[in-house]
Amino acid sequence: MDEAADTKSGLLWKLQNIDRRILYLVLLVVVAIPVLRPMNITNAVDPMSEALWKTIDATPADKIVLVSSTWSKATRGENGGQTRALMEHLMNRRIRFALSSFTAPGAQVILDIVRDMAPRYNYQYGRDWVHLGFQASPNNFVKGINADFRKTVRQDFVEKKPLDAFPMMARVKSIDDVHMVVEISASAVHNIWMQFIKPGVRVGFCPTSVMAPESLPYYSSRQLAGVLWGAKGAYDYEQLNVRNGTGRYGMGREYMAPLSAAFALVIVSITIGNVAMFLGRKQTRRGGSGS
Amino acid sequence: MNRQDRIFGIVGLALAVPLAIVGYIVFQKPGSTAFNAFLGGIATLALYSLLYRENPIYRLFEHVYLGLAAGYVSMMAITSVVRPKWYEPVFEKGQWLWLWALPLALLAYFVFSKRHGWLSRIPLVILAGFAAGQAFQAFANLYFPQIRDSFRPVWPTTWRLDNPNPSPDSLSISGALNNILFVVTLISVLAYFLFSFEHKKPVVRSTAQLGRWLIMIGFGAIFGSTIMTRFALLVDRMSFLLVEWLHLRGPT
Amino acid sequence: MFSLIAFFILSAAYRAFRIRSIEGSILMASALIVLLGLSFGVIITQWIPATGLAANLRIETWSSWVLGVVSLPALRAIDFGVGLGALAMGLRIWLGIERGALFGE
Repeated sequence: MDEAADTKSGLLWKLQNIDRRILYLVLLVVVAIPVLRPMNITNAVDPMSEALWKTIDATPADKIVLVSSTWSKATRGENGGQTRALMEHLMNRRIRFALSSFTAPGAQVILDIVRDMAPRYNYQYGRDWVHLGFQASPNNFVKGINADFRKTVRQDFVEKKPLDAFPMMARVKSIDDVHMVVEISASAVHNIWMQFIKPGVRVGFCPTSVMAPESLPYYSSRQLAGVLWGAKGAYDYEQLNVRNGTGRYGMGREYMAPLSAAFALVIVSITIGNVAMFLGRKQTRRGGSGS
Repeated sequence: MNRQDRIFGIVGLALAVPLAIVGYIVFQKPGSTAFNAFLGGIATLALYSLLYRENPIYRLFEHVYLGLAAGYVSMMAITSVVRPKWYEPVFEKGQWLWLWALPLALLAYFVFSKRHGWLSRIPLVILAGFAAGQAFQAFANLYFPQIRDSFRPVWPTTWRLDNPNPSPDSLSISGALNNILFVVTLISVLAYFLFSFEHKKPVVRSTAQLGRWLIMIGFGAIFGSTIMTRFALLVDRMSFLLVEWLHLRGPT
Repeated sequence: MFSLIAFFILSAAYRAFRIRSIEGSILMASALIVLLGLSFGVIITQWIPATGLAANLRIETWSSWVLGVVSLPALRAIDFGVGLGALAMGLRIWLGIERGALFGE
């Protein structure tokens, strides 16, 4: 009986103290399999994603969308998919847009994506899209463009020319000519837009999942017109694009299967860990009462 | 650093430098990002070596990453901010009044001086003053709609359990119950968080205790979302390594 | 580098996420519901009709409920606290009664 108890407690001890490197290897394998063999996961579109899609889709022909990109390659897994889905929608609908960023890497990452996608839709720089560049002071940028784009942004990011040099900006003087601002971010920069933007301009937010719960109160109070919830939000937006013929599937759908596999592993790990703990406690109690 | 780490570091560098040179010769082509992907893969594997154990290769690439980030931000600050917004207006357009911004900004570097460190506070308090001045507008624009949205109806207008077509004029029983829970949660969490008064009375104490339990649900949501972000970043790195770097699968 | 945290989360999930208190259980349950609602939870309950009272048994409905009815007001209340603190700080700087390293002490 002692041997059985030793074996059980030995097994339980091993279960509770498994080498973490084995766990890491299991995680790598569990994530690698769906990456190498893509599979589709059923998705239910979130109402917040649909609200954002509809607001962008309703952009009038004489207005533009301002896309602010405040992320870097570190969060490409979530913000990259959101950006691509958003750009597909804008370009398919021939909606003109301006880019800006409150971080240095953000200006470059979105430029790379748009440059990659623009030829497919015959989107020309200056005629259909413009990059306003890195803005060091978010507060002052937002307050500045409320009144005048040209006094706030002296030159564009790509060609280093004044905004008047671009046909697209001919009728864009201030925020009144912007239908919506969409902030793609890994931080809480959406607060700046809500705090200082002129009332009446819609604000959309595409955060990483970490920031998404904190944006819920603002969506509820209609300060945000829509929210894309991390990688799931990207998948929602792609689904809406496909459903309405304004884009196709991409990173959002591609990443959902490996993500789901990883979550399943986390849930199994928590379950095994707790089961091992409870069994260990039972074993200890039984051993204690027997002596 | 022990002997094993030193050997690890020397071998790693001895492999990394020729590998980078070979990679440049093989992959570098005008207009191609293959070399970037190659370097990115090496860097990713080097950083992931931390999972096995702490080692000098990880430290080296960590410092390279931090240095690159700092250098890139500095470059962008000069080319996108200082040059178009200060240098060109002052020296090319003759707006000499902006010259005062330079000594004011340079005062910040006095933080390194023990004797004259107080000078570095000047630009900081100016910025703090700007922020304080904007705080009122920020508070009003951010929180007044939140306060308005927090007043929710708690009495149903339609005696249905569930309303498939909710509208501002029709509130079902489940909607009313949800709103009651909403208001209770808001008040109890506020009671827990406002420390300006003591939680002596049993009503206040039990409300704060309820708030504490309900906060756990909010934190659970944040925690679940945090897990999602971290794993999404991992999936992205795995996709980069397996698809973009090793080409084990074609694009979808 | 940020993706390394995923490995540490898994290791922590296995070794440290133990249900020892009621508050911990509530946090864990809430996290699991939100996690499932954001990922493969839809597959688990997709056989349940999407309309009618039965739709309330779907995972994504639970997730939306947790986020919209409990998590939202909790985070809003925390936001109010933060906002009031920031406003008070702004007022103190304006009135010159703020003390600290930047302001003379």
